[in-house]
Amino acid sequence: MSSDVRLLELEDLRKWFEIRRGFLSSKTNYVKAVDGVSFSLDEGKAVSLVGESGSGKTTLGKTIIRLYEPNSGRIIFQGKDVTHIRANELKWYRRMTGLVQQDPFGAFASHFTIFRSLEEPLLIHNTVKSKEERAERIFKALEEVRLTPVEDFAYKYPHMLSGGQLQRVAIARAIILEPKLIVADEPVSMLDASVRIEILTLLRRLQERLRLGVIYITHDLATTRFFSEWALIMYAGHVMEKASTQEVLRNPLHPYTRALLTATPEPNPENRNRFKEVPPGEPPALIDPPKSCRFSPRCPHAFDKCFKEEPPEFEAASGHWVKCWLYGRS
Amino acid sequence: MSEDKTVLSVRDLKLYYRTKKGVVKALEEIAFDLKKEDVLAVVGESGCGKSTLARALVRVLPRNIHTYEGKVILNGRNVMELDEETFRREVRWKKISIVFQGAMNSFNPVFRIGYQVAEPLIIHDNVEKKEALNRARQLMELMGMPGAFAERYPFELSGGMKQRAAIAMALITNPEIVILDEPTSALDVLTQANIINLLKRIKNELRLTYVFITHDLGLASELANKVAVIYAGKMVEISAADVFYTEPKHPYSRGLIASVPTLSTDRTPEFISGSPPSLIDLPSGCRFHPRCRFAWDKCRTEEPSMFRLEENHLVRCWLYGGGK
Repeated sequence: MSSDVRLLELEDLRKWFEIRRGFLSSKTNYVKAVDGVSFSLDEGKAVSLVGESGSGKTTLGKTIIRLYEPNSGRIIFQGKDVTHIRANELKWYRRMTGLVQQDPFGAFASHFTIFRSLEEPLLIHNTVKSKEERAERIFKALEEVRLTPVEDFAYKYPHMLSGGQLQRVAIARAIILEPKLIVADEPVSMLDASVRIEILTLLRRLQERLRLGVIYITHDLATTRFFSEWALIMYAGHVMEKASTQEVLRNPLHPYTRALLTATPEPNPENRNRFKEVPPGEPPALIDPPKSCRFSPRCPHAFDKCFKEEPPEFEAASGHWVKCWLYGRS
Repeated sequence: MSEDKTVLSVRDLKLYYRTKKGVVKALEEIAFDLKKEDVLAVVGESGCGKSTLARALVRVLPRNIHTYEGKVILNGRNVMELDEETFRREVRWKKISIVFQGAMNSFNPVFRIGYQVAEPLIIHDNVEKKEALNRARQLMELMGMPGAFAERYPFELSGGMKQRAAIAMALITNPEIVILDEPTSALDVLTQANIINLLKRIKNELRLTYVFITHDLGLASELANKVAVIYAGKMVEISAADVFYTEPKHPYSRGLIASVPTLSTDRTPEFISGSPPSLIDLPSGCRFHPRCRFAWDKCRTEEPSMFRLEENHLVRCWLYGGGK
């Protein structure tokens, strides 16, 4: 197998949620949560989706693994169009993808042991027929996430484990069907700082060892550089900037990315003596958002054009895309 | 740093909860001094007792208290000796107020924001309602909110605006000390930076003293000139922020700082293996020894006291005192 096998390709993906205003009203509004996203990911690589709440990063993650069906655009997985697949094909896609969510405490049935929770996907997909083989799989998965001795953990109930341990079980559950793609939606934001790095390191190791594609959804730019090859910066349903993580962090181009970098707190005792220059205001509502650049009302560099027209994605440097008029040829 | 007198002095603060499983030793041997305009960051993992400390200082505690003792000396007066009524009338909100964790989601949905900000004045100071509302409005403007927002209901405000209102509510009675319990934990990065800017500005303008409870060392450095690290209910290190961030001493403090991923350096973040002990069943000796890389026999059997390295730098670790 060559080293660069395309795993996933998104083409102009859109997910709009319909909202009705009163039952007599003929007008339907849409919340344009994901509005035209394109990118591709190779096997065994990780991409970070970075954005604030309401930027559409979670919706995008859920659309990619088809928990939502997109309104338009295409999702190509291993060369196969999975945008609108149904029934058995969708079940196959469920096996090929896994999800780790933010809240480990709410991720498990409280009356199931860890063993039983991990057995559930195996039973549903019936990929492993015998009871002994299932047990073997479950123990192997627990070992992968370093919950050892596995026999100790397998028969515990969720309330007996810490947040970090539960998040490991969530990862074990996500990989137990041997998927090729994992969506990790803020997997460490509810955990303590000292545990976060441990979980992310674990995820990174699994990604390399099992050649998993990982979509790491986060609001924390600082973690992206250690745990992903690519970074997409999202704002109000749009991808504002995309490039390799190193490039985004070293050479941020979009004013929003720069603001995020400035705002990210770092331990430094000199911080207390200075104010941070960050744009005021809040992201726009996504119900019929303006046709202009969605960051323009907060942007310190905005000029006429920014308030009138939505910028396309410009390739400012090789492989470095930015949706901003400052980088448009004109 | 200011040359002012000490405004808050805490000595041997101890707080235990009673539960079905046993006595939870939530806080022990808490001691620190704050001068006017100091900001003390209290950092630690969840469950270490930092929120309990915040609540203990304003005496907003649950009913299952087992032990609550020690000294909290406010401008020379030990307020632990006051009865509940006097404490309520003279101390809480008048001298020390608090922005609770998640305060922005605790507004009553059926009252206007302005009234809720003004409420402490109406209740504590018997200020006439109209006057109180006026002052609430002015204060909200100082917080960077349009004054008209006073007429709005909580659901009509964004998270950042609600948090500003929660801060205004804590400031309306002109307290000297404000406790900030994770004041930005549910906010986005840009909003968080704006709120931190605001807290810095009003600290300077109103000459406030903060106790800033947070789990985020990066955020702590935005405000604090002193840092106290709490582990399993006890302070393990306290020092000036300048010293703490450049030369943390306690192995736990060092681990915490090493676990923060940074954008400005190429250091790979590390983690502290293991998890904190149960506060019901604490390990023998140093509470951190099961996770400590440097632990030796003595650490397993004997609990270290706070050793003084410099005037204002104390560390609870056998590496720094007591002889080997």
